[in-house]
Amino acid sequence: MTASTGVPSWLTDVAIPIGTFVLGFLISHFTLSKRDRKDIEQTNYENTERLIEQHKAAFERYCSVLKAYDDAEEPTFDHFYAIATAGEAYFYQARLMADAVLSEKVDTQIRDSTLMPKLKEMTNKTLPLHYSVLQSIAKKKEFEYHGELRRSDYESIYSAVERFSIGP
Amino acid sequence: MADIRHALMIKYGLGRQPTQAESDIWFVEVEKLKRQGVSSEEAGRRAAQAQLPGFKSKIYASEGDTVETLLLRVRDK
Repeated sequence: MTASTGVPSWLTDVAIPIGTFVLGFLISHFTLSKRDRKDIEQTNYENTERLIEQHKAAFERYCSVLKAYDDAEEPTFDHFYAIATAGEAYFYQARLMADAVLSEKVDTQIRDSTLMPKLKEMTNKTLPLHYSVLQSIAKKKEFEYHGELRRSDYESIYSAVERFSIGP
Repeated sequence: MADIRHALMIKYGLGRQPTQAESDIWFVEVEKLKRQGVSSEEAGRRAAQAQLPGFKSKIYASEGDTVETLLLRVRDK
C-alpha cells in the first residue's frame, strides 16, 4: 500500500501487521479453547495423582520409623533421628502439595475431598505433635535436639489451609 | 453419588463400598425410621446395620489419626 490511497504507508506496512499480531497473541493467550481447558484439567488431575502417590510413600516411611522406635527394646539416637528426618520428608511432601494447591495446579474435586483434609489435619494436629513429641523424647533421653515448629517453615501448608479449606 | 457411597463405607466401617442400589435402600430405610421419630444419626446407624454389607467390620482411620496414634505411643514409651 502507498500514500496514494490516503492511508500513511507506515500504518499499513508496519503498525497494522504488528497490531494484528499483538491482538491475536493476546486473544489466544487469554481465551482458552474447550480443548485447551480439557488438557489443563487432565494435567491437573495427573499432577494431583502423582502428588498423592508421593505423599503416600512419605507417609508410609514416616509411619514405619515411628513403628520401629515403638518396637525397639531400647530406642537409640538413630531411631530418634530417623523420626526427625522421615517426619521432615513427610511434611516437605505436604508442602509441595500445598504449593500445587496455591498455584491452582491440582484437580479441584480431589483438592476439596482429599488434599485439604490431609493438610488441615497437619496444621491442626500432626505438625505440632511431631515437634512436641520429638522435644519430649530428646529431653527424656538427653538427645541433642533443637527443632521447633515455625510457621514460616511450613508457610504454604498454613496458607493453603486458610485459603482453601472448607468448614471449621 | 460415589462420594456418598464412599462416605457410608468410612462412617459405618463397611467391608466394601456399597452399590448404588444398596445405598438407595439404606436411604429409604433411614427416611422411614425418621418418620417414626428416630433421630437422623440413630436412623442412619440402624439402617446401615440392617441394610449395608459388613457393618462395623473395619475401622478406617484417617492419616492424621494414624500418625497421632504412633506419635503418642512413641512419646509415652
